[in-house]
Amino acid sequence: MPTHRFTVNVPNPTAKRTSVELRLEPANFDELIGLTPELPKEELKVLNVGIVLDPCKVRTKPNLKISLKPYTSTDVYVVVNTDRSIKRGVAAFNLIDRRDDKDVGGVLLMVVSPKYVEPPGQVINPKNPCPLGLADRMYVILPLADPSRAAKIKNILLEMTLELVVPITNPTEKPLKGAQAYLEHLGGSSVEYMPGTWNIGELAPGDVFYATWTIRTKAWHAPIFHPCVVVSSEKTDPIRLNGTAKIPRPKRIEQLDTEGKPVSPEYKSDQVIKKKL
Amino acid sequence: MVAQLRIQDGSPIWLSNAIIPSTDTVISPGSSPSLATIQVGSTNVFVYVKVDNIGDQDLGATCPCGTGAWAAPITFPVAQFVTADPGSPQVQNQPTGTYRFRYTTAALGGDIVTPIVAGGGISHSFGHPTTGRRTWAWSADGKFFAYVTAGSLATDTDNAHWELQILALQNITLSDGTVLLAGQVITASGTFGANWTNTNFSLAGSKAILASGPDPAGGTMVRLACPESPVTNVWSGNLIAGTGLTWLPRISPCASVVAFMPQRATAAAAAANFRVVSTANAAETQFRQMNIPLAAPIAGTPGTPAITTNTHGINGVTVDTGGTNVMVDDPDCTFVGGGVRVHVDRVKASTLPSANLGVLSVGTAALGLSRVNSSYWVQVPNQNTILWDNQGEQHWCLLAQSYTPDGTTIPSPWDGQAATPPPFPVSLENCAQRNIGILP
Repeated sequence: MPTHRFTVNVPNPTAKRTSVELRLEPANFDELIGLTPELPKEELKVLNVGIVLDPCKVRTKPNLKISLKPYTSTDVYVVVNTDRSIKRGVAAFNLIDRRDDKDVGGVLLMVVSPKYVEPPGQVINPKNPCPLGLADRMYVILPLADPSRAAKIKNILLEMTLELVVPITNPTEKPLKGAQAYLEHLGGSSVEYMPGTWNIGELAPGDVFYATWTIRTKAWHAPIFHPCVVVSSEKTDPIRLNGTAKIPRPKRIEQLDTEGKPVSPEYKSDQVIKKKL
Repeated sequence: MVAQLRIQDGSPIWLSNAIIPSTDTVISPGSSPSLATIQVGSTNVFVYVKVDNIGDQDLGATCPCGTGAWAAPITFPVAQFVTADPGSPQVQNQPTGTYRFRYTTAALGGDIVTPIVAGGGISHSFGHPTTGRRTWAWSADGKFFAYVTAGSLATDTDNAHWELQILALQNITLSDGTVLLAGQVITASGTFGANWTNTNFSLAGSKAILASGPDPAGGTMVRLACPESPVTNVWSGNLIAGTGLTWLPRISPCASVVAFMPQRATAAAAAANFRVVSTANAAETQFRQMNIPLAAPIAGTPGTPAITTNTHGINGVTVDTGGTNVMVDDPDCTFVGGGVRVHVDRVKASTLPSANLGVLSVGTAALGLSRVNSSYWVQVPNQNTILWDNQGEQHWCLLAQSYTPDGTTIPSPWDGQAATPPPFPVSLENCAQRNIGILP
């Protein structure tokens, strides 16, 4: 008899002792939207389910009443036993939390047999994608510099304002009206950015618009990051343009003074610190 | 107008279908992703959050200003200029009705801005102008009060010298997203070649104060004091003098730039170029084409110059140099900051949707434009350095919230990274949650 165990926390974040009634209810398969195409269609045969406070205790009642002191929580254990003869299927329960005669919360618990195998991600294309695309790689420049020139930046500081440049072009043979672009995110990077949208307007065939967004490095940002920019134009579906940009690591630990200039590097520089050592 | 965002709750509430972790490559924000379980080491999982605009206000990308010819700055009113102390204390209320300005002798307390209703805002004393000369103005949007004197020290007896103070009456969001708090003051000063009056000072929309007058060294001294500029608040410049040359300041419809147009009476008049100053950073800038600064400034030609915004986009502005048109990008609204932010946290699952058991930030992403009645899937990357580490617990709950980055239109409803975060406000329309598994 396969046994499936779940640990669920039951909290009392209030200043009063509270009584909690827990119960298990079979979940409606409609609640599993998104997973259902990949899940087995069959239902597992559940022999019994139980909620217990002691993980070693055997109990087959689908409800439990507990009392919690103020600002405490406890773990409860849900045990689901299924019939070994059915090898393939799904069983799902909602563990429902009832307090003061009201259902106040809960958790979905699901048993899947055989073990759920992650399906590979798919590419989901829109019906009418916006034709705008990247004219070149993405890069970073100093604020107010010419965005059409990717110049190497020296002296990256720990916290520094820069501009991300995304060259956007119209690769078609007709003008694209109502073109817009916004920065959705910078991937997993800790670099901060100012959100905003470029109202490009009409972009002629072959023209390149150099969209820029102000970004601010943080002390320990990763040098490589992966911006995602969304572009759109009239009568088309917006699309994501993904790229890679690079910010060199700071060579010295420097700080800015109140006027934005680097303070004396005498005792801020890694090299100087090493020499003193 | 009501701005309102929604992340649809689930039924039950801990299973929102508007929060989907997925390994799909979703090309369009208009397409739905499919749900994926998360493995501890996953690096290809984004959390997609569907944001509905259920208010009656578009959020982001829309220009708050109109089009048309750029206007001249508005000179401080003559009624707000005095050359000596009044016989008795005088009071003027702010047109928007929150504050009042009282000016009087030093013996009676000098000049002060106070809230009309006691306790209804900040109070600020400017002291007393030594010469008794002062001029002042309220910004049209009610955000600041500008005040000019020759100084309040015993030695400040020269009425050609001026000291401008701009008092923030509300918190002012600066161009880098930081805030100038109500009660803070920015200053500018100068000394003209003659005594100043109210006509030397003007409002550049609600973004800057322009001071201009004869420069003792020749030409016209100009100072542009910009409260929204985060580092340097004041641009200082000189407009050259020349035979047949007149300078005309003009303000873009959103006042993001002030342009100084050279008007050349004849072909024999002195040559001069258009000059442009950004109020976002109090610095001289250039008109742009395709967001690239012009290689050289636009030269004035004989005739009457003008600048007109036709559309808010590239090549949306016509610069008439006096007979020749040059098309440039609209400096106001080709770029519009703001939009919508979506933030996702995760907590260990518990039976209470409002409980916070070890909140971990997942990431933040932006939606540039959210139109009324539209829905878009925002792709939120995992920006946490521990990625999807499950801390030995498979059951987690994603907590998603949507808000506007200005902090006021739709404030961020919850800070999960606070020292002791309050319960997640899942009952709010712009918050929702979803149970997920993070498998070893």
